[in-house]
Amino acid sequence: MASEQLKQWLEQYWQGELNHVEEMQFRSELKINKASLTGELKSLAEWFEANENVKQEISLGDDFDEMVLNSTVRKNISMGNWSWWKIAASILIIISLGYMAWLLPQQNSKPKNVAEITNTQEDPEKAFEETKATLLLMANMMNNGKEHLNSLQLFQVAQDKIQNTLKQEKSKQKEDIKNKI
Amino acid sequence: MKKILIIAMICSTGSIAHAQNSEFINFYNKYSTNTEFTVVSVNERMIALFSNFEMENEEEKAVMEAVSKLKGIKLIANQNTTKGKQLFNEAQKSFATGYDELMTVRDGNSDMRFLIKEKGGIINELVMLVGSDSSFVAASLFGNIDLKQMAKMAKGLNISGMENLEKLEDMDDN
Repeated sequence: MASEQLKQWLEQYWQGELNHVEEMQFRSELKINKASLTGELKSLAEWFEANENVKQEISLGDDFDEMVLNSTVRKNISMGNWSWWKIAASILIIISLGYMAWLLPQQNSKPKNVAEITNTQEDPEKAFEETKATLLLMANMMNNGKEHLNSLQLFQVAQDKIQNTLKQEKSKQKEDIKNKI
Repeated sequence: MKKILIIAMICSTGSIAHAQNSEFINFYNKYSTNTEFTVVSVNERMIALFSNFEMENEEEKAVMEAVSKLKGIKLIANQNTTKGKQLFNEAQKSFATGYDELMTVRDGNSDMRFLIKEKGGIINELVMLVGSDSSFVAASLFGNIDLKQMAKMAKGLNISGMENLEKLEDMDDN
């Protein structure tokens, strides 16, 4: 190939006027005639060659696609777990805050501590009399209730005894009838 | 994120623990301002003062022994009401959750119910509800409650429970 043609292609290459086919042809001619080239054409031929070598060296392996897919899937799973944690935590925080917002006004409107409950009597002696009467009221009512339960238990015992006696009498009658036969 | 979760859980637990005994206090607060009701309220500080008294008889000693482990006493009663049953049912609904039934007795027109709040084998609240056509009583003891001591206290007394309520009404009038 005439060096004039190569120089013309070089000019067009830098101007960006070569189409794909012409560029491939230009590269191929530079490669073939590399030994006889000089100056800018030689530099460009060496650049193209080095470029091709690098491309071949860093080409992707067959397992590249698989590796990328695996890492992508793994990332998606961890992102999924993370987002569920975030949703659960947000719901819990909203519920807690809502509950607190509902509870706090109620807590403010009533005594917060057992010790802060107001007394109906300021005099300890009168307060003791009140306490005594309240305790005796509860204790008496409890004992009255227990008496009712005891009488119910007695009724149950009596009922059981009657039923047992009737059963025994019936079984005796059956045995007598069998003996007669 | 875990820290936030733990903080939220602690907040919830604290609120639940704080709510102890609040059912009765809510019910008490609803009616305690009504002058038709007899009210009794004794707090832990006042109970601590009782230890300075000299007990004159066995009955007072038994009362002192029972009261020394309590943290508070509340009572609300009305002996002249036509809404005794209605109040009893309302109180029952208020204490439907968180309480275990100890005893329920129906005698004629009168209903009586004892409820307890228990934790770790220790009774820390005893609630009594009595409702009839003409009267209503709701009482709560909170603290460490010994049921055997309660039963021992009223042994040998030939008075009905309601006579004690009359005493309380007299004190309320003074």
